[in-house]
Amino acid sequence: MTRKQMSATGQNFDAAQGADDGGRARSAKLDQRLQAHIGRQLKSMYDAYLSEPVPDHLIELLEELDKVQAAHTSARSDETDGEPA
Amino acid sequence: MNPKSELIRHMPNLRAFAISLCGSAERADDYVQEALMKAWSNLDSYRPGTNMRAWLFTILRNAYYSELRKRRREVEDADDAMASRLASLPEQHGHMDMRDFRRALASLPEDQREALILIGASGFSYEEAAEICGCAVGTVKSRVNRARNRLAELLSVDSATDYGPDAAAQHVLATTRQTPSAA
Repeated sequence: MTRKQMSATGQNFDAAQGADDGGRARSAKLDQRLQAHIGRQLKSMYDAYLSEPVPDHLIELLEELDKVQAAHTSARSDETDGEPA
Repeated sequence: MNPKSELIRHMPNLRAFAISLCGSAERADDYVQEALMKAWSNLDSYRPGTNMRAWLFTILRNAYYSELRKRRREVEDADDAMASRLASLPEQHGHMDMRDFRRALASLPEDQREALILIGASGFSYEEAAEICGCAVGTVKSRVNRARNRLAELLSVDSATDYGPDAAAQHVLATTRQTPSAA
């Protein structure tokens, strides 16, 4: 369904609600459109967060953890070699 | 791939999940930091070849919930606090329409919001989401359904008849409905 059709259906909705027949089908259709809209909103919110740069301090934290572990590992292998660092 | 670059690769996603959950980038970064440190010190418990993203998400949501329980004890109504924080967020993430959406999302119960984000935005399967949340697949499904229905209720009241993404168009629609001649 194109955007134009969607908004046309939407504008007719108020008038159509007065009619007894077809009201339920229309409301199901509206619900479907609303659900699709919610899905898009959710995704675009999430994608906006996704595209934000990761703060430096988080990257630095990992660098630091990696460095500490590397130092730890090499100290350990030195010990097993019988050559303490 | 070494654990560091693997973690870096997943970080934007982990962060997007955290912000969506708690509604604040600042708090989200605290959760991400905590999750990263926990993940790092528990790398032994991660089984290579399994889904690292799901594993990280599990750690993050556990950090989030334990913090939330602490907060609940401190603040009488954490939901209210979050709703007002969200309402005061700068508009950097979009227009009115999106702000309404974020507010509605924030008003959902935690478990429903989490399920909806995992399925509808993070792209996990129902099985993966069930594992992350530590519940049955059927429970995830019903949480997602309830979340969608609740959002539909909240947003159908607020929004104009056009569900297009453009807030300006909505405004025009609203105006033209009052005064048909003005266009």
